Amino acid sequence: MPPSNKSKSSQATNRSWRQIRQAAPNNSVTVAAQKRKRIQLIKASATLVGLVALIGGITWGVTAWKSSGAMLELSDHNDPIRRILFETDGTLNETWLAQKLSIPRGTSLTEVDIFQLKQGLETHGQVFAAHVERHFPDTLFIELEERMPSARLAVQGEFGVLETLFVAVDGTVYPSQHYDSGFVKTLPYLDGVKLAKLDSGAYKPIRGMDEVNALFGMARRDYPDLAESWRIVSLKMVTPEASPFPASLIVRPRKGPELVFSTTDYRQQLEKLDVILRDLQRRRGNAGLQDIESIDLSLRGPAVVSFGKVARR
Amino acid sequence: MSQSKIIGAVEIGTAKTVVLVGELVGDSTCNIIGKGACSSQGIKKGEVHDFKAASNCTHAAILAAEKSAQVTIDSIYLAQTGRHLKGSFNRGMAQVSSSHNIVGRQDIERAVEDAKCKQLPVERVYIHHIRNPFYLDGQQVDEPLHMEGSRLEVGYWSVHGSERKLSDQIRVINAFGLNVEDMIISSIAAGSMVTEESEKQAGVLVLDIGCGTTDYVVYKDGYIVQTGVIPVGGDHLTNDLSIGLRVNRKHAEYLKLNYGHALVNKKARDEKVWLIGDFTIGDRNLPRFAICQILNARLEELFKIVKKELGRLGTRDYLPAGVKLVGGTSQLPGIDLLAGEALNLEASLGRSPDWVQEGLRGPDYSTALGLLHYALTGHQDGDVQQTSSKGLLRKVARMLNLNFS
Repeated sequence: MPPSNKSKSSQATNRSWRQIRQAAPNNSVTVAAQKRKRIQLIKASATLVGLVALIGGITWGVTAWKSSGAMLELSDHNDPIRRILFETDGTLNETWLAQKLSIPRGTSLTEVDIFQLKQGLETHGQVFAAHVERHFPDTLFIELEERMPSARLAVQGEFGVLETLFVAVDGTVYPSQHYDSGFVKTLPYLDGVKLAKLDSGAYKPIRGMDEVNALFGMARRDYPDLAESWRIVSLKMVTPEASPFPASLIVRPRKGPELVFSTTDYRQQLEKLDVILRDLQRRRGNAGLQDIESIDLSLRGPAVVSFGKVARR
Repeated sequence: MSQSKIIGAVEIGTAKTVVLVGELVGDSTCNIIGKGACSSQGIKKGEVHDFKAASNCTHAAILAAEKSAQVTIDSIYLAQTGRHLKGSFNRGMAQVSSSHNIVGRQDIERAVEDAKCKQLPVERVYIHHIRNPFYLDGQQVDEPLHMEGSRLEVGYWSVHGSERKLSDQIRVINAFGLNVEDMIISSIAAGSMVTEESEKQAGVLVLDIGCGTTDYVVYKDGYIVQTGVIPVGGDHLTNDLSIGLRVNRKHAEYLKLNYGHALVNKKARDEKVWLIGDFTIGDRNLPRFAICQILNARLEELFKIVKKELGRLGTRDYLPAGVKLVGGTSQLPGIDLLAGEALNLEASLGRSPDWVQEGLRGPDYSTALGLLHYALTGHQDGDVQQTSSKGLLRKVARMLNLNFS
């Protein structure tokens, strides 16, 4: 509906220049206006960036101040150790750890020398690496990486008591009470080893264990029935300086002939042994291995099967 | 800590656009911190005739002023001139409503409303409502509140202009990304700078003779009683010389500025002046008498128009403080003598107060200085609606140099 004349005239009555609409055009009309717009845009951007940086700085500052305040608060408390978190990938337990650490009661977390603790733990042969952390306010965190034994040694202790020592893959020799007896029985005994002690009191690592592991590992994987009966492995011939003969491992099963392996190609020797044993089984039945003294697989060419006195007759 | 505001005083004249940058600190201090000027283009008799050209020179002047001040202007105070500006005196009346005949606020408001409610033709808008003294039962009073009387009267000198022409000038400023905060007519701005309070009380006429127009304002009893714009200025003098002496405008302007005089000296009838002065082709002798005669004739005519416009206000009794001349053309030698003679008033050249720095005391800057003075005092009576700069959003926008329309 069009406005009436009355309203039109009343509109004109009190009109001021202030009612003229003021608005900047979208496009700058002149070069000077464009230049000013650019400058304003740059200034606005700079101000915005500055504001963001300022707010960010304040936020960061407040956060840093708060966190540093918390740290100061904890260190001021100087709380004694209330908890030890223990994690391991092996068989050592908290009882052993408590005996090993022997931290006096009431010791604060900051008083504990964690580097010394780590070194102390690593003196035990079963411990391959120890990781010790302080967890404020009152917790000590210890994580162990243990060695796994691949063989055992039967030695006579100080008072004539038979003692079992374990030999890890890297040749480290250590005593341990923490292995399951069933697992221990699966480990072969080592023979032909001369034990020596270091200044620290630990045993000198045994050389040749990598050969034992390679042979037993392959045998357990490919010929588990065969490997299961192997009870003793002799390292007497594994070190070249000990003998003019080529390095060899001598394995003595619970029953049956002694087996001599060279340290060159275990796969071929095991295959050869398997063939020989099958052939003997097929030809001689249950009495097949009774009079065989040894099978030497270490020589190039065919294996040498040595028979006992009865057989020779 | 006082908050400061950066304002620009812009006078878009026919010959030159002048910008002053002022820093308003609190309510009582205005520091002039920058200035810029540019030859005007696209302006005729104070009105925009070519928007692009006018914008170019105005924006260049504002940018130069901002650069000299090393700040960004927040808003603009714009001087207005042009023959579209008209003024009228409107009287408002109210019967005192109190039974004891004591004037209350409502009585004053009714009288003021009555004075301001005069209808304008369509396309016309008010620029100023300038209050004159109150009359209570025919007696002039400065402050009628709580005085006794039955009939309250008040007069307003209302200045209005063409909405379209005002809008053109506003758009020139808007195109630079700035808003016009207030608009003041040139004569009032210039008058506020060159007159003293005692002169305003006694009665004084201020003539701002510019390039395209002559703006005038009459003060009496401390009030502005009349303003006006006569579309005659220095350009007409140049034009008259150009036609009368048959020289081009450039040479006519040169003759006006270097040999012009408002009075005709009959003793110097034989004095000759060189048009160019370097004996090149076209250089010739001209009688200085002729130059002065042409200028004198046009100026006399101008003063006659002024006298006619003033009517009964243009007498020596009404204006004992005489006439003050400002504007570029007021620098013409002898013009004050001619004005005194033609208007029959004491005439003198207007000069900005001593507190204005030396470089800004000339007649070129009196209008722009008046705008800054006006921005500081902010005493525009009537329909002032101050633009609010309060509010979080506006403050943030101001920090980011954004404009809110």
